[in-house]
Amino acid sequence: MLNKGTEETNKQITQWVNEFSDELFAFAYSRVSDRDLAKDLVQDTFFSALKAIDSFQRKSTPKTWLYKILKNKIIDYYRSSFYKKTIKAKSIQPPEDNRIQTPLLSKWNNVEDSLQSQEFFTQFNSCIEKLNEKQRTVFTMKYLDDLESEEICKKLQITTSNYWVIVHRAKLKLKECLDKHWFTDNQKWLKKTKK
Amino acid sequence: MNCKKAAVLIEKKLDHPKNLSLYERLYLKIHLLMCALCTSFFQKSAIISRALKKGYSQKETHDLDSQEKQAILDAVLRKT
Repeated sequence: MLNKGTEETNKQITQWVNEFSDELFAFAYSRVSDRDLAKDLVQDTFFSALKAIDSFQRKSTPKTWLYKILKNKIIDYYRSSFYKKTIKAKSIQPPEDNRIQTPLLSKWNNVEDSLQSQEFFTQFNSCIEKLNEKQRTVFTMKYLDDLESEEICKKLQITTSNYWVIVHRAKLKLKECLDKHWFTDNQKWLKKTKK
Repeated sequence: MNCKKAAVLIEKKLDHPKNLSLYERLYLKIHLLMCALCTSFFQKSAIISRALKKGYSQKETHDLDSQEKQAILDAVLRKT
């Protein structure tokens, strides 16, 4: 067993930082999309690890243990940012009647080519960046962590009806963003090249 | 018939078809037969789900440089 504040523990932490900070950082960054915040979370993780090093019984590997601490830090962060703003389940927006401005579905039907193209995902990612933090958090947990919707609600301490409202609004925003920046511009671009 | 209600049912169904009760399934089916806007949104939302799945699976990774690593280490050891 290791003891706090000794030469030995400092050496141990140093080794862990060198060995695991990259992947812990990548894990955190992909979830919070903010370099400084991700660095803080990793730093906090090692700090908590150092504080609790007495209780680390080596039942799990150090890597698993560190990931567990980091995951809890990320969830704490998600929760705190969720609590800043309360979500009103009632204010859901139905699809707008914008038949004239938005491209016809037929353009969306030819989406297979888009889904194969890198440019599409560059645009798509910038649309995701425009979502608010709540919406991005939900998508990260769903599509990066592969969590079920019930688990996400539990982790974020939100009701299921709130959850569906967040998902729906986020998708509506993505749809509008793609309508505006991909499906229209892309078509214009196609016309230009045909001339 | 209510588009707001249908919108939530659409998201639930796309998440997992089993999320809907028999009543909800019927409700959505009938609503989609009558509402071109929701039908269009349903199809677009399905495409967005696919794009999200694919987009997140190819997210780039990020590394720390050695200075940043040292800074983390210094900060952690200083606190003890």
